[in-house]
Amino acid sequence: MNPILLRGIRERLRIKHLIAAGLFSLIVSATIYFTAYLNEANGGWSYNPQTGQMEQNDPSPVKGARHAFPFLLCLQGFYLMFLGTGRDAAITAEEKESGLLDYQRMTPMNPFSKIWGYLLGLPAREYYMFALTLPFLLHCIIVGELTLENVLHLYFVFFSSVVLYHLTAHVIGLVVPKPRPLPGFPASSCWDFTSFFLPSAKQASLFSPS
Amino acid sequence: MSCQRSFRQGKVDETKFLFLNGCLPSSLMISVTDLKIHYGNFVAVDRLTFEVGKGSVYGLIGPNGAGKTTTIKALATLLVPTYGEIKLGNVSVLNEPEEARKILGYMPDFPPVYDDLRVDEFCDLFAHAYGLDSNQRKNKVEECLGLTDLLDKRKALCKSLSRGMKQRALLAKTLVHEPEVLLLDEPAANLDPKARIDLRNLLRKLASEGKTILVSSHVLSELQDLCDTIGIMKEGTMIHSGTIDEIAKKTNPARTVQVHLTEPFDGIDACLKDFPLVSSVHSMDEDRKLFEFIHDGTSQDEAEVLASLVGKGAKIYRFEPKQSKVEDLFLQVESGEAKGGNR
Repeated sequence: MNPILLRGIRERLRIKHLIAAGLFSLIVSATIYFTAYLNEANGGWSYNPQTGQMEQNDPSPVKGARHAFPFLLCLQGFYLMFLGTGRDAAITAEEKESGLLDYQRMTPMNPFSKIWGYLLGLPAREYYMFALTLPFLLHCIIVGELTLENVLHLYFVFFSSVVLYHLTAHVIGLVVPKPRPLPGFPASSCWDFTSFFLPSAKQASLFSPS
Repeated sequence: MSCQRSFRQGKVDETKFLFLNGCLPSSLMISVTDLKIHYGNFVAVDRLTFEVGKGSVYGLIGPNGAGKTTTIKALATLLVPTYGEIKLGNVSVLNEPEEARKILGYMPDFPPVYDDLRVDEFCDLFAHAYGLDSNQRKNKVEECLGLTDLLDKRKALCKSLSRGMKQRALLAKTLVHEPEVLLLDEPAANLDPKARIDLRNLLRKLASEGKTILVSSHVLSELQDLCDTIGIMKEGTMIHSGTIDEIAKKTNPARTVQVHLTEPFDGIDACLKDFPLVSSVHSMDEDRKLFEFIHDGTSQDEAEVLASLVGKGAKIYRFEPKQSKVEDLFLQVESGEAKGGNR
């Protein structure tokens, strides 16, 4: 295994982290996903302009799962693009400041291995939290009858964005003079996510019934 | 290899041949030639030249801002010099930094560690990064932690260690890939007296195994016992380089001689007045049993002084030139007393 990746796992995924981050991710994912899912699956309420009254829709698990999907995607984006990106930038800045990055520069690993090690190793806990949302995604795909091709296409774009965000975070970490939480960068990541990524996903017809 | 093969075919002087071909003679491990490092307009290191033999310990001393850390960073491939040449063995640090990194171990002055890693994981990370397989890593990490007296702390998180222990963990990490050249920037700065003695013994042992060590330190008394040769830097330049005795002779050719008597001898002043090369005779204790004088002659002249004193009834049990301490040399340079040198 890549030593830098192994370091990230050892450093950020000890038992106490696994339990705390796991519980957090499961509870938040379950709450958000099932709230959205059950709301629609049991027949959601919608406004009828002809009668001027709120009317209950027919119960539909398919609609429920499709309704819950964007919420789940937002949560996954929060873990990887917000928390993961912030973590990458902060740790890179800290390592540069302390001189730890010099140690890595001096090791004879090839640069590609170093970059992948940092990309996957530093946000190891965030990837773990993301992994715990996958059972909900699976439920969503099966119950919501989403086409696998569209889902894979969407997640290809999603992970490309994640890698791009994390690489940018490393660059920012290398140029900022002192380690800091970098709140602005993850916030702008969220803005980009909601402004560009979600509309693109909607355009790909993922959220509407096929 | 190619240098050695070519040398066998001809009948030329080995040293000259190797230098002409950009190789160092086998006895030299570090060679710095005409090194200049500028930070903008500020000249941190200027025309620095020195050499360190294989298996020897070289001490770099100088006041703050002398350029020691900058020099060590350039040797460690972490800084690109403005001008000059650095060679580790036959590897050019500037042209082949990847090759140079394989044979050197660097320990910075402030010991940064990965706080959330355990000590053994910290060493294992670097053993892994240097390409050791899992069995080799396990053995090597144990060995290095044993050498640095950290075996009982191997399962502790790095953030729970004291600064001195972090320093030792860092030294263990530096040793895991068995580097031929060790660059240690203030390695004893945070260590307690016992750990300093252990470090000194460890470095001497490593040097005896053929490792070349360049160490900078402000704990000058440590360098006295540790280093074979020292270099004194000031304002980015090398003021003196050589053994402590060589530098002492350069900075102050006259030697201080100590005379230890078993009983007081009043005629010592009168006796020493007969020798024109002797000056500054003074008693070092109230009992007048210990005298010091400065002698500007050879060992033969000193022998004559001793014979004369004994001949006149002085009961001498020790007559010896006083050792030049690194502190004295450093203070002489710092106060600007030292002149000449190899700048």
